[in-house]
Amino acid sequence: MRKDSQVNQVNNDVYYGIIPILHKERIYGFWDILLVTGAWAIATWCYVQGGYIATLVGVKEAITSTLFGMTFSGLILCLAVLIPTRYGIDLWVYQRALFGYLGVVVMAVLAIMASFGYEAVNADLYANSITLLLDSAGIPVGEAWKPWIASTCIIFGGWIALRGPIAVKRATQIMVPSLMLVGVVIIFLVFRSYSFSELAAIKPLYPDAYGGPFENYMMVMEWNIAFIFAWFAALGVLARLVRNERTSYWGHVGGFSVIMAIFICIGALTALAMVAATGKESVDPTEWLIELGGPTLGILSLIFIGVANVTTQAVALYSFTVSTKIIKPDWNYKKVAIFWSVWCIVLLFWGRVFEYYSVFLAVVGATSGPMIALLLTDFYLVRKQRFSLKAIFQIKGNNAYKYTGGFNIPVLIAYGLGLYSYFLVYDPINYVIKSDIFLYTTATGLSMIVSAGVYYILSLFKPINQYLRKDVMDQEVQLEQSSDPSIHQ
Amino acid sequence: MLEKLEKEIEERVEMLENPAYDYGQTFNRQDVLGILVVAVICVLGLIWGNL
Repeated sequence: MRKDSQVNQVNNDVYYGIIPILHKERIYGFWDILLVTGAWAIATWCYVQGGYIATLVGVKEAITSTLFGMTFSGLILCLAVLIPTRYGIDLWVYQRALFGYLGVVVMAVLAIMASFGYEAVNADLYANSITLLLDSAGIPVGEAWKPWIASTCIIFGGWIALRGPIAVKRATQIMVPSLMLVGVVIIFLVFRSYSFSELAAIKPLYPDAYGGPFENYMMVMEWNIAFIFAWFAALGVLARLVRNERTSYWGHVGGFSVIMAIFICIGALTALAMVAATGKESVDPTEWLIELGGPTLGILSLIFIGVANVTTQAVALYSFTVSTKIIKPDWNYKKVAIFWSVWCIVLLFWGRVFEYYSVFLAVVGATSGPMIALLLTDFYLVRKQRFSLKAIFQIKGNNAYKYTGGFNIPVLIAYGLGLYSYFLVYDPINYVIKSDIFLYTTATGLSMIVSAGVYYILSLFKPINQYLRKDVMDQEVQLEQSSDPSIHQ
Repeated sequence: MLEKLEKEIEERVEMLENPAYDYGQTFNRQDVLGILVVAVICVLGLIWGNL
């Protein structure tokens, strides 16, 4: 009985753990990955982001910086999904080669812990929609109940996530069209009241917040880039389920950047309409829907928003739980999922993530940007798409990615310099642009350029290259000893 | 349990490293061209947005 249970767990670990998934086992085609990533992307955080953007820039600037800025960032970010799709491994598993066996654990834990801040924002808005629904039904709910209500989003999402990727896929097949419907309803509500030219004439509330229109435009760019690169922590789990590279790349670009950008644009339009209607700033779509839609449409949309956030929580929890298993592959999927759900609930009761949303976004941008730059430089330029799967999984004592005590020092130097350059041009705590360089690269963009540049230059020095490419040297030794190839291309 | 997982991973890595393994449709020049075209449109759009 115990043996059967172990065999089942091994089989389960194909979808719930870090075992490489072979192509014949893949379950996602183009539309599946587009819908799953789209479902994850178009949660209410899009409206929050749109609301913040509308405080700084007008309609034209909001739409162009969001749609084009996010799509451009997505084109870069999604180059990373070719790794998990090609080899069937989570991106965090590959990053053992990048950060070292211990380095990746530290980076993964920090990145995943931070990423749950988004889920907390999401659950918070879910609680707002439920509260408004109860209020409209004549059942007033006090502020103290909000974290408890928000926790039910985490619990329902967890319930779906525990049923695995097929359940997640089915849930999204229902929810994505529903979310699209909410978007259409919002657009209808906005354009019922205002023409496009009227919306274009609405001035943002803080046109000089960062010194002028150009400075505001670039700050919005910074937020949008950070928003896209924040997907980094979640990028590998779904991509390993997709049947081929082309499908995976364009599906991820479509879901994680284009669809999300469209919904952020809707959020910005609505927030500007809200400014015109009430003269007040709001980043909460639940307020807009009641204000602009009246009771019936508003309540209908609130129901959709509430349920949609549950789906987002389910996809996020599934992905982050699987990624966490790089720390200890035999950890139980359910127990890890419950652990992260509890962490998310702790964030809800702490209650500061939503309050410090801009700071949170800046921290995510500062940490994720250099990581993605290092990963792409490592895979495409330094290793030229050649690495050792045996060293990744430490098969037969192959420890090529142990580096220095489990940490890749050149990468950490490049990462540190990238972070330093970020804070050199932008102070995210006090919202101050510290250098004009920010206006041409943004802070996240600069940190990526610095990290990638430093790492690539370091890799050109022969001793450092040998330190980084020990996998190739080990392979050459093995080839001399036997004809068995251990490097995969 | 960990031993069984490691054995399964080892078997799968062997399969992935087999030259006969079919990786399906890979990323090709058309995709790279597509990226470049979309990227250029995005850059032009960003410049236009700030004019």
